[in-house]
Parts: sequence; C-alpha cells; structure tokens
Amino acid sequence: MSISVTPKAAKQIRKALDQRGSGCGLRVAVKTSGCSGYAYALEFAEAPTAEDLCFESEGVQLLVDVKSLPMVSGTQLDWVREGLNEGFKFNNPNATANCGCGESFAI
Amino acid sequence: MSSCQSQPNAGSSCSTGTMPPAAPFTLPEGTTPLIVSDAAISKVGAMLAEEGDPNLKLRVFVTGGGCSGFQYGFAFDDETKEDDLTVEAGAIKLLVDASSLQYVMGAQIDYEESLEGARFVIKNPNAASTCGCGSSFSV
Repeated sequence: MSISVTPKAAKQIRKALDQRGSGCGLRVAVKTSGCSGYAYALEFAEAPTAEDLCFESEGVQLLVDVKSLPMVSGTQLDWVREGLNEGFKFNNPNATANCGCGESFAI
Repeated sequence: MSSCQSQPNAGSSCSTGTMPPAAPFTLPEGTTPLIVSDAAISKVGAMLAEEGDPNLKLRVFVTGGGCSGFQYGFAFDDETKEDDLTVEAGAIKLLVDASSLQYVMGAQIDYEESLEGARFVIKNPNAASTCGCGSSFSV
C-alpha cells in the first residue's frame, strides 16, 4: 500500500513547502464529509507521528495515517489546471464515485 | 458548455434552441449585479496581461451539472453577445449572460489560494446549498 505524486504535483508541493519555510512533507488524509461520503484533506506535516506511514515519491515526502491509507492506497496525486483554476487532483483507484470538483468521493 | 442541449439554462451559447432572441439586458437602477474582490481583480488582471489580448473579458456562467444541480464556470472570452451584461470591476471587465445572471445576481466573486490549489469561487446569496468545494450549487 502506498501513494505517489506526479512530477507536476511534486513541484507544487516543494514550492508550497519552500514558501512555508518548514515542514517535512505533505499529509494526505481522508475525512468523512462532502457529498460523496469522503473528502480528501491535505496539510503540511512537521514530522511523522506514530500512526503515520511515510512514502517518498518524486523527491517529496508523503504522510498518510494508518486509518486513511486503505482508502487512498494506490492514489496518484496530480496537479492540474482546469480552465482558470488549478489544484491537486486525486487519481484514486478505490473511489467509485467522485464529486464534480473531485474533493469528495465514495468507495 | 459543450452539452448545452440537456441544459436549458446553459445560456447564450445555445444557438440552435427555440428561445426567442434575448433583448440587451438592463438592470434595475441601484442594483449591484456582481461584486468582485480585489484578489479576483488582481488575478484576472495578471492572467489577462499574460494572454496579451486587450479584448478579453472574464465570462462567468452557470450550467447544469455538479452534485447540487448547477455549476459555475469561468472562461476568458473576447466576444460580447447580445444578452450579455458587462460588469466593470477595477481594470477588468466581466461578462454574464442573461440566463446565468438570474442565478448569480448579487454574488461575490473571489479568488482563493490555498495548499489544495487556486481557484475562483462564488459566494452566492441565491444558492440554497452548495457542494463541498463550492463549484456546484442548488437554488
């Protein structure tokens, strides 16, 4: 079980971490909300906790807690520009349905 | 905007429909059709400077779709149509077609940047509920 990022997403994560000035990587978590049942949550991580699993992809550190991991395992995080907006996109093989914007999903 | 046959409210891009040609839109006096935040004005200005076309305006439109029934759309457009309302905000101009305007009248357009991404968002007093990310709404 693991997650990965595309080169574009890695570049964006590095940029965000540089701007912030501290942090070891990006935490990817799942919370129960959104119109499709689950929603992704991204945040900076200062350091891994005892419940985290760490993955390295394209030179960036990704942290996922053990509860979230089964729902996002195999996910590739991409950075896409859609029209005038840009943001992270979750290509999650576990998701059976996605909300219009991709923030929420069902399993 | 591509599947406009199934979206009766998709706006002026449907040229094959049976709707009568819309008259140029006039607003009741004293109405503010759209409020545009400084962040949105500055971002659109920067994007337009990048495009290098002085005729481009930001088109704001509403289509059917999304988990709440309607969805907002943003695009650059160099063509002003007959039923478009032009809104001036700072150094930029926005276009809203008459069908879309009824859903976004009085709404505030903002530009938000966060870790998740950067996007234009609409705070819409007409929306009864919105999707988690705010790109879809119901009335």
